[in-house]
Amino acid sequence: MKAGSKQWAVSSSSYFKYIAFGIFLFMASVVSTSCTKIVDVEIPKGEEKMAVEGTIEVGRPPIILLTTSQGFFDNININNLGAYFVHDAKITITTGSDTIALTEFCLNDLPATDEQKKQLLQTFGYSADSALPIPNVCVYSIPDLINCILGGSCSFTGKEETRYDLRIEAKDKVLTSYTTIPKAIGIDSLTVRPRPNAPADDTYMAVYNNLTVPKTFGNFVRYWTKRNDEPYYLPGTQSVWDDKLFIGLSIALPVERGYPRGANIKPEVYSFFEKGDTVTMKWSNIDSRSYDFYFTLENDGGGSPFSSPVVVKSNIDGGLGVWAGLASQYYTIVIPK
Amino acid sequence: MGNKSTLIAFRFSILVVLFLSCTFSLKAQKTEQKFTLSGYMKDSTSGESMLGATVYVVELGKGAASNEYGFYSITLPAGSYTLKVAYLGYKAQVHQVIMDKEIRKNFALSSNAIVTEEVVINAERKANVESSQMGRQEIKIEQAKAIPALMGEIDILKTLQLLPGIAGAGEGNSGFYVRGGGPDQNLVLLDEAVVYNTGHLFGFFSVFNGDAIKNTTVIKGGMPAKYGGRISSVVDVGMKEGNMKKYEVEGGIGLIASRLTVQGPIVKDKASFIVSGRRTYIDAITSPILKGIDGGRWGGNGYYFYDLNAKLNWRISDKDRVYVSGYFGRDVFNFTAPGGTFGFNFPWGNRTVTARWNHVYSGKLFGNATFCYNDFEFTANTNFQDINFRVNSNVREFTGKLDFDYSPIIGHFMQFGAQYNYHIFTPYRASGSSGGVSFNNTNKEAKRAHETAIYFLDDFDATRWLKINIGVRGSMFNFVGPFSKTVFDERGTAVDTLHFKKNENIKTYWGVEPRLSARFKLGSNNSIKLGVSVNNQYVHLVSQSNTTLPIDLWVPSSLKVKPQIGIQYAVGYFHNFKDDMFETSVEVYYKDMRNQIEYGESAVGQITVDVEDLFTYGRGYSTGAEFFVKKALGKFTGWVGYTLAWTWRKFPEINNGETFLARYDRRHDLSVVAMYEISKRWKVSATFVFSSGQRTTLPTSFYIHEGEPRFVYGKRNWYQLPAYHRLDLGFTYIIPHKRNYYSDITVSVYNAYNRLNPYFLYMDPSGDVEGKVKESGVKDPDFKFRAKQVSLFPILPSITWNFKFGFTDLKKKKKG
Repeated sequence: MKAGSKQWAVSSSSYFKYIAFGIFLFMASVVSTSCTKIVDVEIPKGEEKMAVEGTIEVGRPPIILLTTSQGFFDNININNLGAYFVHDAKITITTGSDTIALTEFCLNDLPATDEQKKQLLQTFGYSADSALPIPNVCVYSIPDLINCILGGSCSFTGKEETRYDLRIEAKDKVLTSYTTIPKAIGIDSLTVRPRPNAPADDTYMAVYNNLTVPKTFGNFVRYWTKRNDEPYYLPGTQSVWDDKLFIGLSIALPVERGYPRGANIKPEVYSFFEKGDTVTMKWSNIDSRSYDFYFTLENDGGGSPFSSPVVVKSNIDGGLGVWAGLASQYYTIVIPK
Repeated sequence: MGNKSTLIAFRFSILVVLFLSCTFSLKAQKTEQKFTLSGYMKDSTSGESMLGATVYVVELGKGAASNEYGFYSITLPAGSYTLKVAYLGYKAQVHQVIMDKEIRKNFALSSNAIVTEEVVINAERKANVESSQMGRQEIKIEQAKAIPALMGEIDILKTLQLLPGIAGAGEGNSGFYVRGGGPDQNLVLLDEAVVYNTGHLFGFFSVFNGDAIKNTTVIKGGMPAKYGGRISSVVDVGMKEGNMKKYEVEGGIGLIASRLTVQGPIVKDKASFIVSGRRTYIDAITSPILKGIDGGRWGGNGYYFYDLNAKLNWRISDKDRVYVSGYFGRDVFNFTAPGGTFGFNFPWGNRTVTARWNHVYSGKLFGNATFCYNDFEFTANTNFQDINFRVNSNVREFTGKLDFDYSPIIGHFMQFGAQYNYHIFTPYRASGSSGGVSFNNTNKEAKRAHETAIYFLDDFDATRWLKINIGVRGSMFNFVGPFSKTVFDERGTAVDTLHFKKNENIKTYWGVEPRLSARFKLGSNNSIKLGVSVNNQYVHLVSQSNTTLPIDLWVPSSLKVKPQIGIQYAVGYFHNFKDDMFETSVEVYYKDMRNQIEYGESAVGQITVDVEDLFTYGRGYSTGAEFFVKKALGKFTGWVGYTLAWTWRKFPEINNGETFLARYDRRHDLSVVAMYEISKRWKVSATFVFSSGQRTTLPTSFYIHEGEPRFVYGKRNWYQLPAYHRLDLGFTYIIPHKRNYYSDITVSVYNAYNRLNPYFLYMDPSGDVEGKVKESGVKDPDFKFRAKQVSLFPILPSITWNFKFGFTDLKKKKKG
């Protein structure tokens, strides 16, 4: 099974995705006479829009990636990556009475080692392989970003229960958005359980998330998992979660393990960690509009007959993408051998 | 809206015309002495009643047809008459009758094994030109059996889709579209009970077992006032009653399914039964295949379906008959992932039970009382690690109907009656447990509603050349408690919860639905017909996917959801050629559909949400022209149907409020059906279909987010898939047999020239943004999209052995 393809999810909010997957699997196994072929389609070039990938976390500076949308039949490759980033944009963030202007930083201009660059890339979801030159990813952030990353002081960082307004002027267009970093509401603890029907010498274990859901509706979360020294990966099916089903309950749910995109995992061991692993879960509270973006993004069927295309609910006015505020907490458990 | 007042004025004028026509008919009755000739029409060998058989009075040049229970009635002035009794496929009869008192006369017709070109005044074929009813077709089961079928499984619904104006939703889809209307707009009845899900295995096969069915009538335009509740069509399927005279066992063994039907008398000529079953063995076939792949990890998975039809028929007296019939069908899918960490079990299916009582009040008045219960249920059981999750939804209905056929005088045929339904819709009820903690969703309550209707119609000859069918149906829908509705604001926070008590009326909708059609006879062989009808629909099926799935939910009209209203205008020209050997017609229609429902553009189905909170509303319009030529007599029979049509939708919250073509808009739709009897032993048939491609919303550009490409979609349904066309061939060899024993081998080839018809299209990314290492160790840094088309069925041949044998007496059979 491929991570990032439709897998069963912890969250029961969007049950249909895995019913749809089940039905699709069933169709594939029973109707073994189907065939796929490549066809020519004429797709008119859509209007070029700008896409924002912006986050601001508690205690961290805002990071904004700004790219443009592409037509389907242009090639995009690692050497061209730079062309898809929008340079020289005027970006400002306003909170209360403070306004800060952001500066552009490109990976190639950073005084960092290749290793450090690769680590930075991973935080944006780009897995850097050794065989190719590092893509020249560009971000907008506070002017003293380098100093901030290296451990020094940061001129502007996110705070809980604060609203941040974003304004981008680029390519003769204006994009605006706002987000609120909510209060950080964490979990109680992480625990481990053996795999069901596991053999005696099993090396795999399930990690469980024990939490108490607040009694009032309106809490949204996004989470990542990290194993040992690996980067943080998002769970394959659904990374965001709302509390509609569990209001006021104390509950234990299995943690869906995150995997790098395109990884091939055997179904029997999918979502299990191994004995001896140090597992860290990053648990971030987000606001409802950010949740809407990630939720619709992950549920877009994209052409399968079992779902309709879902128009992603972007909170960027005049563009695509998201501006999300996160209140993150980290929980670690070491799985005993 | 000017539309609303025009509608009211139209409805009012219909009522006035109705009143005037009734007074006219009453006046006409007073002049001469009249007597009524009535009775039942049935098959002489089985006793099965015949729908649409005609009794034609030569001297008056008029006739009457039998109803679905085989009852006919003609009121004539005193005198002596010659009657011609006919039904397609049966030997015509001529009788003399002297009308000087009320006469009850039953006719038993014997079948004509080979349909010859003999010229017979067959009023049934004249219906094409004579009847005031537009858009109506009847399919006899023998016709459906003669057409080649997918995997040898006879399917009435697929046969209907070969008629102009009726489009299938494509392979793998049980829905069908009639004149541009959605799949939930078709009222599908089995012995008067509503069938909610008409497909097995996502529509590859229908739930109707051909051996249990007698006839199917489809009305796609000008729905008579007797039917209501759906705005596009009625598909009325009648089960066989059971042979009253002898026992019969019939069945077939095919490649993927087999069927068996047993019928016979309980008391000869008084009571009979029929039981019919069908099951697939796809699971038995795929099981060894699945065990053989990937080291047997996928074994234990399978799918199967079965159907069971049963009916009891009791002729209490010459005036009373009782029928009890039932249908039970199920699809089950089981899946367990290797290692047992993940499993599914999905059963789903329909059940119907109907009890009917016919009573002949007098020669002129025939009444039928019906009581039925029907339901459709779907359950999904899943387990993942040690979490168990169960989701269940169902729709249930209790119905009571009273229908009367009243023939006061030849030239007038009236129908009136009333109907009551109690609906219970249970949305997704989810429950589960995880390591000792159990949970369930807040949206547990069922929605309940009462639906009532009364109707009246009169089909009468206004003049020698003008026949009018005028009717009106009044319907009402009450959404009642107990019910709780949580009201959310745009942010998704609950702002209020409304509570309604048991039987408290939450919302009422009602409507007056006028139905008018008229036939202007131009000559003895041709006519023009026109019609207008207004229909209300109170229950809806809104699908989020492009294919109909058993998880699609039926919902009632409620606080937020309004009833759908359909207004259809149609005009047609009908012409029979060569002594009714050829029936031809051209019909043009325009349909206005209001309060249409779609899911919102960003809606994602979730069990915690009341689906109606995800809906958005708008209008639909469709128009088209249907051309039809049918040859019903001779060794070579068949038809050609061609439809040119458009269907649009306009929703304020979809596609920026701009009009868009519906997903099932099909510009051209052509069907050619040909059947030829080479000899007594050999029959051959062919079907060719062509339809313009369906529409889909493809993305037009993409952007990168967290390293992955994400789609930006173009205008709704902007892209048209390639056209669909297919040729099916069928050959039947009738094995030489003894008198009471029949068997044949039928070979069918589906998709004879192996066309890869598009099932769906998707954009497939290949390569990686940063690059992926190829086997040679070199990276492929190019990332590009390619459009891929998935097709379902290549050429599929199949072979079925069909058999039928009968015996008059069980005792005799044992001795012999």
